Amino acid sequence: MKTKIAVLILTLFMTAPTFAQDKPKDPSNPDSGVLNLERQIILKDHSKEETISINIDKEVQAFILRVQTQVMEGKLTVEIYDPNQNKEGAFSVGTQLNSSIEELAKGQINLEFFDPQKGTWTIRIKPEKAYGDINISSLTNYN
Amino acid sequence: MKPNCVLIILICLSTASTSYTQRIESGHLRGTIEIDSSWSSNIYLSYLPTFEDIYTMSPEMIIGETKIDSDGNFSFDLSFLPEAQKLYRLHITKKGDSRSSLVIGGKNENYLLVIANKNSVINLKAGSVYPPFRRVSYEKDQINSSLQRITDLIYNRDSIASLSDVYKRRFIDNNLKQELLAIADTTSHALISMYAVYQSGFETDYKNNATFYESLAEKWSSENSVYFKKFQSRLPQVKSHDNTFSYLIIALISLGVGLILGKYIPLKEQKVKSLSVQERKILRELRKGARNKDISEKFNIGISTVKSHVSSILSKMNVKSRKELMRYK
Repeated sequence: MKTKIAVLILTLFMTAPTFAQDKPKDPSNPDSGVLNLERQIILKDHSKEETISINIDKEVQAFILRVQTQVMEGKLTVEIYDPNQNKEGAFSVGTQLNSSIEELAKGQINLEFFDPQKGTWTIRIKPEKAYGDINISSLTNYN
Repeated sequence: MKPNCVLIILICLSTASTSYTQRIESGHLRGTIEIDSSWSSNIYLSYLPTFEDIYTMSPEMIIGETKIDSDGNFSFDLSFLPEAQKLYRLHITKKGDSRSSLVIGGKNENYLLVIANKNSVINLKAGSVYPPFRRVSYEKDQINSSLQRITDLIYNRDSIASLSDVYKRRFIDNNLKQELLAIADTTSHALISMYAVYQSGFETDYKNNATFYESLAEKWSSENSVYFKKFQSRLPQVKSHDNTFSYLIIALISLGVGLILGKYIPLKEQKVKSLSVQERKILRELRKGARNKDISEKFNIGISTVKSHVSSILSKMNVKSRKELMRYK
């Protein structure tokens, strides 16, 4: 039993640095760091609109966002809005209805902001009978 | 006699050679691009039926495909395109990627917009490795050079804005909007004008600048293109009444008034009418005695832009100084 507890404690100590890699500290500023967020959504005959929110608080100095999509069938539109609901980017990928072409359609948007608008950024995903996947990755750099 | 025969043969050969050159020169898009080995050696041409399709990718949009040789040269035959000038997109893909891949923003941005028809002779040079279509120049191609100018303005805005704070970004956005509207106002090409308006985000700006957009819609009212119709459909519609007779009376009265005014309208007013919307706004300020700096601040445009407008106004009004303009009442 004692051995098991020792192994558990040792494992916890070893995994702790791995979690910390998400937000590495700047030795001169204990509150600084980088936060990475990754999210994947799989679409299977999906037509329901989804909204992904990313909160940008006042300490955020830079915000980098990448949305990658690939669609085998159907259509997918991605729109990115800042907290004031200004559209910062959009794209669509897909195949036309009743198309005989079987080909993957891929789309990617890369956005970078220094001192981004503070508040909730939203990514609206509008699929139309879509089969495919979406990868959202964001990087926020804190003061 | 012999020299005459030689001369005739020379003329015939020269004519044949010219017509042959014209034949092979007609309807093509040739270019040179600098790409590294991570990119595939294929380049694709897609048709964009609306401006919204610029950021849309589907396999059905691709209408042409060709190889990029080891020196970066490629060539598309455009003779199968329609007579009307339309918007197209060139794109390349990374090795192993689907041919229907679009990347917007960042160093791997992979597309370029071009305006073409079946007779277009387009020769371009893309002089940047990342993103490959960042620095594009055209050989004697005013339309695509203007299109590229808009792309450059947007790219510069994005580059500066990504390094600026919120307030500076607003200022940069406003400057970009003014520059795009100035292009829309002054270009002689409808598609360029519509594209500049589209990129300026006119739908959110309509209320602040309704007169400008209405004037623009009027200016291109003879246009039949889908691009223009789409723009027109997004302007708030004037309510229509089923009263043909009233319209006929109004049309007849307008015709009569038009004829009278056409005969007696002062030359000065005709000159004012030749000014663009932005120039008319600046003329109003000049008449009030505003300085370049005041105008620059009022319309949020650069001093150099103001100077350029003032010079154009003086030329169109056929006057030598601002003082003379102030006498135009």
